[in-house]
Amino acid sequence: MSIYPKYIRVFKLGVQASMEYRLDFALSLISAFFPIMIQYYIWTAVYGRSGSGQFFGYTYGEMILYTIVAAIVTKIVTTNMDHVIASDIKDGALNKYLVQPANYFGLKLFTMLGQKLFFFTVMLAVLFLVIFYFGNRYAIHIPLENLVCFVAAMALSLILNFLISYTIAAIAFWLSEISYFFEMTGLLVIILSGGVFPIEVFGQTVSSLLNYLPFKYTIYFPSNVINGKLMSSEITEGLLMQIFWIGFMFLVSKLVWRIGFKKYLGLGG
Amino acid sequence: MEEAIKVEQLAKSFTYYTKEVGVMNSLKNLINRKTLTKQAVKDITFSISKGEIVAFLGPNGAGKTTTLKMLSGILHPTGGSLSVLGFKPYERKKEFKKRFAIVMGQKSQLWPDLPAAESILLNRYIYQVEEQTYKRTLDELVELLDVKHVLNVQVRRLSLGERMKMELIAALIHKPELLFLDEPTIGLDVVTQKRVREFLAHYNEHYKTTIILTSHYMKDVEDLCKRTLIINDGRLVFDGSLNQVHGTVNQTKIVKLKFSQSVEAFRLEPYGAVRQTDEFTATLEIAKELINPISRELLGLFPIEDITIEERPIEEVIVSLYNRTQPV
Repeated sequence: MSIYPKYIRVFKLGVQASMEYRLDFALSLISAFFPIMIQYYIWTAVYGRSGSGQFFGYTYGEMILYTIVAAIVTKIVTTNMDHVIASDIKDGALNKYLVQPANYFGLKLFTMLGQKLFFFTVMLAVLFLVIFYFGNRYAIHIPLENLVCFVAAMALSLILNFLISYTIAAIAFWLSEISYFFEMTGLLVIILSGGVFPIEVFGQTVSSLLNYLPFKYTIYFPSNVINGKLMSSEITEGLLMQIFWIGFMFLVSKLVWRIGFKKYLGLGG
Repeated sequence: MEEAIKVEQLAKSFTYYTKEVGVMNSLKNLINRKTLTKQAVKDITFSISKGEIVAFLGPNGAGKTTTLKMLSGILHPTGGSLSVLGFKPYERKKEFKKRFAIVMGQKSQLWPDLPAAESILLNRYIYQVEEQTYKRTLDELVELLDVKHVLNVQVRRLSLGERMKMELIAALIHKPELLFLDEPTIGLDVVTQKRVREFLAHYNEHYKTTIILTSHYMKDVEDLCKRTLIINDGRLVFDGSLNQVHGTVNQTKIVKLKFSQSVEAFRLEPYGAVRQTDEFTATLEIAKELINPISRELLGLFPIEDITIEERPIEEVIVSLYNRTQPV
């Protein structure tokens, strides 16, 4: 028997487990609506007061579209895995994986993918409806190839986001009282990723700094693929950057976890 | 007999922090924390043959679970050597992991949101069990533990006893040669405890699986384990059968007397330690070798209606062992 069936198996279990939380999912969809409303009024006020049609390179319609799309993309790619993994480390649930002939990273990755599959599909459908509606309303045209690239970008950003969470969660090897730490990093990562505003809002310095970090490739980039801001060459470059950051974060997480494990196993350090 | 486990001068120490009571000390701790080293396990040496059922007994914090964790490769020892099924557990080799299982009474390895059957099936894939073997093993285990009717119920909705049985099935689905059980009967009712014990005894006899368990319930140990390792304060203080505990550790017996007329307590004192008296009854603790002459003397001197001679209760003997820090 090959070694892959076990990962397919946890993937399926993830799908099944996520179905148990349908209501939770529906509520989270509704809760995403409120921050969108707040932003809608803020941006309406901002654009309304000034005469110029553009802010940070976004027209009013593009900004509203970005806000909604980014909120939905955030819902899709945030995995909550940092909490899960950190509590595994903290309360010793990691032990049960240590004694099994399986790989913790692989099991968690495929569980997450399974858990996300259902939401991913539903959210994508919601997103396409939003795009279709706003595209007509604000006369924003989105080419079909962008839609295809968007799905690919979303899949990559889900994996990239998992790797970021997985790396951050390793902090639990050193700190034990950390629930607020993850509240903080979670929010920070979302903001830096462009989940609240497009990153141009932070100004030239910060946004050029963010070019050298992986965060913007999780929310900002896919959001701009779908709302038609990026040209196809920029999309290709973005996708390649996503792949690069996935590779990079994979190596970083391996390193951090190796050091963390030494501490966990009581090797000192 | 072939050895399953061989441990020599095994040691494990942890570093940890302390804090004195009070806000000021909390602030002090922010800047400069006192680091202390705790020797959780100190120079333990023993070996266990294949097919044995052995109990680790000891008070909380004695080092039982730490030892178990080192044997299963979860913790790295800080001293000594150990070999389990011919492997060094801390290397955590795949071939090693496939040959043992560990069940922790307080930590579930099942997915709470899904039926236990799903988690068990996952283990089939993780341990790469052939389908035919898997089916046969599952049917047999489900039959033995009588849990067929709840196999497809969400784990969250199972009773503690049912959940524990499912944990056992999930752990045994790949037929491990070696099974570690950390407090497998904790929190279970008496009937379920008995059921689990009978199952383990049967399983051990049938498959010659080496079983190592920790428990606080004396009944677990008395019924299941021919051999007991008592650990206290990180040291091995006793290694043998519980009957031997009576033989070697316990030097006294309990004599209960019932009188037909009232007897003053002080008159009994010369014969042994008086544990309890009232007007018509008395309980004495008397050295084993003096039991015969003294009881004869007592029968002659006092208006005795009834006399019984008993071993000290096993719990009591164990407690006296817990207080030891040197091997017997």
